[in-house]
Amino acid sequence: MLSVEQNERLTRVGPGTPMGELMRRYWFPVATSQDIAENPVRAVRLLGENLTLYKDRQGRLGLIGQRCAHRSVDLKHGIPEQDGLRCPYHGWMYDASGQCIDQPAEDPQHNFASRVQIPGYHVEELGGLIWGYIGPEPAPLLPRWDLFAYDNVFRVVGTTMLPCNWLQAQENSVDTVHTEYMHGAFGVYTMEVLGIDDPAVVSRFQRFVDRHHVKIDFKPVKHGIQKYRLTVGQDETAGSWTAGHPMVFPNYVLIGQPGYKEFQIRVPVDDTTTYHLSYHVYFPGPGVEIPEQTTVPSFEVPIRPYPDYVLGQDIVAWPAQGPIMDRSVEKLAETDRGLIMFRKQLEDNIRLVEAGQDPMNVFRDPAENQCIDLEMEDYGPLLNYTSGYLQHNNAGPFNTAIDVLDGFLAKTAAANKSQRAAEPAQQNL
Amino acid sequence: MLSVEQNERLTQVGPGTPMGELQRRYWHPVAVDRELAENPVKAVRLLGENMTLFKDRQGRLGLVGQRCAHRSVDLKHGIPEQEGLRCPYHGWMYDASGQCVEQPAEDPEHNFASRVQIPGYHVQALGGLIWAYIGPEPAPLLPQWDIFVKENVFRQVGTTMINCNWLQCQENSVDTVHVEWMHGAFAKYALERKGITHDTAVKQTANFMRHHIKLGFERNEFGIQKYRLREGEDEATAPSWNEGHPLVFPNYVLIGGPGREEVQMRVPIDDTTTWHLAYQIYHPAEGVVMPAQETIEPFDVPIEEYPEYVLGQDILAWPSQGLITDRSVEKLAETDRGLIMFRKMLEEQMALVAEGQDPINTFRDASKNVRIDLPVEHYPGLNAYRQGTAVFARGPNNPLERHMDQLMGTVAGTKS
Repeated sequence: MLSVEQNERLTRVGPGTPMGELMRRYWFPVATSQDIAENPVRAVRLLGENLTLYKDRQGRLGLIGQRCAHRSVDLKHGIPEQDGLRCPYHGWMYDASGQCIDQPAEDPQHNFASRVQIPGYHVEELGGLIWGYIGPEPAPLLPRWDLFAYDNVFRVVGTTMLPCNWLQAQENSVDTVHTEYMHGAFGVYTMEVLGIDDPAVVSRFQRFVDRHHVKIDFKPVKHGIQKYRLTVGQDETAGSWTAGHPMVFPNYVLIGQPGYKEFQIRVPVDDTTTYHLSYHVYFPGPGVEIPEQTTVPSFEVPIRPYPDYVLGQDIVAWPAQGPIMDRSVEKLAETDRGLIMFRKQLEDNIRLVEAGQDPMNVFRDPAENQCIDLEMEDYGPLLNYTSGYLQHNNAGPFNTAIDVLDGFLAKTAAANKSQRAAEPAQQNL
Repeated sequence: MLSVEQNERLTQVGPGTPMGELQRRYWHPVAVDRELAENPVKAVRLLGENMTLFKDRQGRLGLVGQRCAHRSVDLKHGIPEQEGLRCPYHGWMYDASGQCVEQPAEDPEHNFASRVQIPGYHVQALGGLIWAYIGPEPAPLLPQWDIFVKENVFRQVGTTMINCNWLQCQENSVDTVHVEWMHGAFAKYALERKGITHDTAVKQTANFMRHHIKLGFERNEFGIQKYRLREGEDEATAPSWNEGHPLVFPNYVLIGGPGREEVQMRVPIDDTTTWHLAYQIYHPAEGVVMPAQETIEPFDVPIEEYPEYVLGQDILAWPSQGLITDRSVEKLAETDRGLIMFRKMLEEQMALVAEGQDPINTFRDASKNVRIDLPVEHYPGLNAYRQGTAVFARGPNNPLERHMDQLMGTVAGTKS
């Protein structure tokens, strides 16, 4: 349980708030590359601030203030040009630094443009996402976490705008036992509600029930908190108990299955809105060619009351805790000790920022930022794949690359299997 | 740039506010008569006040308060009767003055009805619109602006409910150079986004993109006359430089074009909502007699993200300035001097009202209110029309296309 004040401290992300200041030390995805390919000008909101993201006609990104300095027109209606973004109302143009560089209707002799400036922020593209940094200078490096830096993988991104505070979404990542219920019991009940009785589908959720937790553990590690679980039927050499998987501070979790890893990224849009990205990376089997990706495909994962896909169950739960969950009335139990560890880690890092220091996961040395590997259990290669499996997997049937991916995973499983012909068949997780 | 207080003074329109008092000296359209033909009872909101507009079974208009005096039921659910509007809950009936004229469940001997009154306002029909006056008595005359009374024309009105304050819409009317960008460069980009290559649209856009060489603004009897001279125009003869067109105080602009005139009216519904009417008349080809229109044709002008029609570009810009644009952070430039003149005029007229005088465009002499001609640049009549192109100027739903043959006199028997 937290006091009302402690809860505010951990949840409010606007300028000048303690958590807002901590969050302003990190880069956040503000759009996907596909979004910008579809429309090169977008309204963006991050940490309670409104911004305009654009790509100029030379293909250079810009992230600037929401409104034109002249008459406050929203620059989401702007026209991308060779050298910047032009306001549609009177043609004032801004470069990526927010400097006004053209006022075509005004007398150039007055040179008024040179005295007009709107905010300009750091923006970069990596791994099919567009990233913004709106904190103090000097900006740290955009972290090249392994999933964004890998070569030769197939990527897709599912996105959802959640009507709740970021922290309840992220606390889910140090909440181990919810899988038995949210993905297990509620998943099985969803099958009943939806009238789905295909045993192959029902068993996908039933197995979350069957894997009752015997032991759980949490350890602070270099990049966040490592989570460990031992479930019924596993022995203590199981990867999920010996290696675990990480919550990456402050707002990611890394999960995996054979042949696949996924980041879930919770971007605080404002105090009561969270942009959720489910970022999937699929590894090819030997000799399997990666389907061509000029842009990483992205798609929306909707919130449905009875979702028959795993991520859908989580995104039902988080907004159901309230726009900003009231932690002054919660009743934490023994299995919630990961949450308590995480909240302490947040508080420690808020204090570091208050003391003028960099919090954890701020990178300034390019040599250490080539590919930042995150430790997790080795799920091994994909050996068995049933066509159509993805329909009920994390992002559900909304994945626009689902057919391409289905074929790719079938080939990958076959290639892995023939390489390992001597080994016993492995079950999908 | 204005202070926060000055901005509030010019934008807030509720009862008792300085701008609200100025706006209460004018008649405002509250409905298109076609709407009442479809449903004779309509909820209306004007200057932050809620009202009920109705037409009784005798065809007489009434504009009364929103709620029944008895149990506050919203009279938009009322039943039109011979003598007024009846509340659906217990049958209390009101006449157009707001007087309760019947309480059928009560003992008539108590004569309670005679002591019950709700607000009643002035209401009149003109030019296919229903107009209301909710200010102090005596009410001025409903101005007979020429566009509403001209004969032998085709009329249509495009309407939009815009989610922003009225002033940013109206300031657009003294903002000359926006046409190069909003209707030029942005229109061109909208065509690019939508993949539209129709040469009428492309030419229209190129025409708007011509740069301004000179701008002029002049106070006149009715408001502010705007003048522009653009590349390729002759200073001695260009109608837009020599005659110009007017911002009609406080909330209209009149614009002309070949064979047509259009008044855009920005009706303040409340501080953050504006009802926009683009009221258009089209003059037929010479010798063509237009059949009388029983009711004018209303159509919806939608707010789209990349509109290829001129008004769509404006109604995109205004709400994007914010619900009430923050003028304490604007950066006005040299080309914004028309805005400054207009704001000064608003202040000056608010001061007149505060002193108990009539502001400009208040008409009380019936002999001067037969037809008030507004000065607008003269363009030649429409002499060519290509089917399918009305959309680029007037939006996707406008009925003009259906009437063009008649207007151009290509329907047998229309020429006299």
